[in-house]
Amino acid sequence: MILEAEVGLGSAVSAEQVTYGYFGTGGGALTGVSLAVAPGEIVLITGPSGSGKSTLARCLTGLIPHLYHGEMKGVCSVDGLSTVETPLWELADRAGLVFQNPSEQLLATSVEEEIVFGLENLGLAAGEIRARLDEALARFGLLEMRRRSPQTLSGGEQQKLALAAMTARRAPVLVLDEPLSMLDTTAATELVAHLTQLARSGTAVVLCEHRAEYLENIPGVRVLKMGEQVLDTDGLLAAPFQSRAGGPSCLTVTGLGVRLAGHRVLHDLTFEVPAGQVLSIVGRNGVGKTTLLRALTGLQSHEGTVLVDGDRPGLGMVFQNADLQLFNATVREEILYRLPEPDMELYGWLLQALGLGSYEQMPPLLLSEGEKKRVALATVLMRGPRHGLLLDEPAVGQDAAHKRMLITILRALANAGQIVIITTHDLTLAAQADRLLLLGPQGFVADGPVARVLEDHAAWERLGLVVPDWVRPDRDGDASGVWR
Amino acid sequence: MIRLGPARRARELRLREESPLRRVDPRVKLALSLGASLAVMLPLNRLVFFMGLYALLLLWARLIDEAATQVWRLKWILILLFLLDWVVIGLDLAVIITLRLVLLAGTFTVFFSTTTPGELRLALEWLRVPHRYAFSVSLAFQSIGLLDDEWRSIREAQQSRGAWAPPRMAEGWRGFRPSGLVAQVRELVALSVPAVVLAVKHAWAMNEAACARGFDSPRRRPYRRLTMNRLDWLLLGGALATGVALVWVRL
Amino acid sequence: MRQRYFSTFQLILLAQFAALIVVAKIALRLPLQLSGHSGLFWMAIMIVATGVVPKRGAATVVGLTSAILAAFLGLGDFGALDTFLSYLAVGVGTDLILWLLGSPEQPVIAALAGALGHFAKFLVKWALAGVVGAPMGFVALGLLKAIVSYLVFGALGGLLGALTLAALRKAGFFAYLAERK
Repeated sequence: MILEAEVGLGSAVSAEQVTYGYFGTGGGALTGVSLAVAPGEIVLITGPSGSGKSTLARCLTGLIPHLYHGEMKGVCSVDGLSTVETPLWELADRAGLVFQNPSEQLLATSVEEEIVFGLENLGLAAGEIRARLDEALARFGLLEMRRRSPQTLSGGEQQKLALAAMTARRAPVLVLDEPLSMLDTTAATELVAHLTQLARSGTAVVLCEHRAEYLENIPGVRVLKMGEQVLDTDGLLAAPFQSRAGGPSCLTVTGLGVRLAGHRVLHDLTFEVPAGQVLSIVGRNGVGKTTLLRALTGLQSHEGTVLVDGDRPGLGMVFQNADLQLFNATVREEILYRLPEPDMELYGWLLQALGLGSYEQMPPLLLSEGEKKRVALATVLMRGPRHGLLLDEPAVGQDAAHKRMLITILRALANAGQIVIITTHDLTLAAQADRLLLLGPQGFVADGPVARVLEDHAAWERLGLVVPDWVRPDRDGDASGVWR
Repeated sequence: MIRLGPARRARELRLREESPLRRVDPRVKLALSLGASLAVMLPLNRLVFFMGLYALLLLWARLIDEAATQVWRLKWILILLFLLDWVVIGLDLAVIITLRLVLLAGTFTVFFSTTTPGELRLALEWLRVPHRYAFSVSLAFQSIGLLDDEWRSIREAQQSRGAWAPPRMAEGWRGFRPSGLVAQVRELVALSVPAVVLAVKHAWAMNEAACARGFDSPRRRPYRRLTMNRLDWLLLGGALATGVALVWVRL
Repeated sequence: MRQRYFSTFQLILLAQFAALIVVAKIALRLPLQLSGHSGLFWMAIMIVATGVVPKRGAATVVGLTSAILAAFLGLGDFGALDTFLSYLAVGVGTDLILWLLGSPEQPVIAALAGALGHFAKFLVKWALAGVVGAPMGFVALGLLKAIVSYLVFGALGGLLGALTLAALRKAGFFAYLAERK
């Protein structure tokens, strides 16, 4: 696959006929990729899950082959140095890599120490380190939080810190592996602004990202696609979900409040969710969306009441991190675990609908993050939750096609009389729901059909989130949910 | 905002920012703690004198409540041992054994309550502990909160899909039926596998993140170094003088 | 570059296992009022660590790191010195037993290593009691129940460790590990 044929001299980073394969699965492998990026250029690499974007990011920065045993063919160079022959620490001086998960790439006990860590490794004198530290803190708006522990920052602040720590090293090449996937729209827009500024100052920026919409319209950004994936979702509406007997039910939440470690996270929330609609809850990183779902399922102790038709709710929950629950030897065993009489028709349909058919005998732990999330969804759907399904950030790690597939399945579930709630910071997914509920630190800010809420600029401003131009509702929606 | 789990809360509650020892060199605090532990070998009258001095240090360092809490947790064992020793051996020995236990329980308060993991890393590196190991220890500190949240989430995720059920509190030991111990241990695999997988993935993510910022570079120059100030020397000198006096001077 | 005994990844991994031990100790208590029951997860993690990083000294590194963490967090009843030495002893003890017996993936060996490794913690308390001059006969008598409990939960922990290693192997996790340096 040739992303850009002109592999020439003067490029800041280049790959020539690079091929790499992992031992475990076929996913994420590269076959004959060529690419060249000039100083000051931004290259956006998009492609479906498993197309090899992360692998390419690691090849370009030398993590492959220095940290991986798999077989690599072809040549990658950074600033004229071969990534195979140059020691990794020397390559790191020339090409930095920012990763997807903000919290897992932060290594120090304070914001300040985080930036200092990379500068110490450059062998700089203390005076130079101090100057670069102050500049990075000021540039990324981190001065106020310089003594805070990175683990106490929000996801957006953490990703900004990761970028600050990397750019303070002043490497001529910056590669980013899905840095936007866990950020809300405001944090993602801010990060993109920093990247364009960096490119203007001469840094070559390579961004591997599903959420291409944030960069596609920026002038001068070169978009390269790795693989295409077409998913057939036509047959998905004929889902074998059992329609609920006894008519449509309704989730009624009254005065729900949660305190965690002495802090009030949720306060006096009152709302209803009738079955038959897909509800999206949107809010900034850390506002308490996950806590709300945990309270609805009964996993989190809370004030107030949560009832479905006056009874205790029977809601299944799909967690954000699929690794929390996968432990069986095969996808089949995982999905059918402890089901005395599994509905094999539903099982077969789920495998097909979720694109897991070819992985049935594979160990779930070796699948990509997106695939694992789909296995986790299948395990919950196979148990047939009594009243409905809650999904925490289901869009993370999913490409556009799989997001469409997901919303189709959720709509089929809703049509079968189930309550369906998703929390997300991905507005393209949220916009495909029937109803949108905006959650702020003081409670709900807006509630209603997606089209109407998206137009409520005052509400988004109060929430501190921006609605990019490209977010459009999937349909007008006729949500009848009530928020008081 | 990130939720604080019990493990992270435990650490945050323990660090005493208000203590004057917070600004003291960690090497000095380590020396003071080790020196105080050695004092258990002193005879009774000198031990009592030393404990008085040590209590004064804790009072000045605003750590007396922290040390008292440590000792209070031991109250029943101390009382039981004191009574046993008194009946079996005699009052003098009962007193000295109890005092030694009290001292051992409280000595390291001055170090662990006033030192951050970052300062510990600097102290370890000064002690010629390899940088890679000292770095991994500080990463372990970083991860406690994260792993703590994940333990909870794993239990919840497995519970919500019916793969694991927590033993009921009311049943206590009986809830953990001895007859089916192995079967029950087998059930815990649903928790242990995800926990191990996540720990390994964190380790790998941190390894990659560190290497992407030039970790293990032979050119590394530490930005911060430990330096002794006047208070550090004063405390160290005072501790040495006290030690010498207790060994040589007859009370 | 010269080859190191533990790679950076392995060192970080062992430190993560140490953190996991401390978290399990604080946050994952079973509702049992028996001394030593926390050894179930403690020894399970220790055994898993020696299976995932199959080198002599792996358990000692986990023991040392968990000792530093536990002392910092104020775990244990007899003060930081006792805590530090107890956690360290569990690591050293496990390494010694596995050096004598063999692979931690064998359930019987893992259970034995778990029991005896956990028992090393008791030996520290015994030694400290000796240092302060407590009458050893009474200490032994008072702690007889505790000894049995230490051994039982240590063995169960070792067994859980071996079962976890087997599940990880079946789930292809060692293939994931094998492609990382």
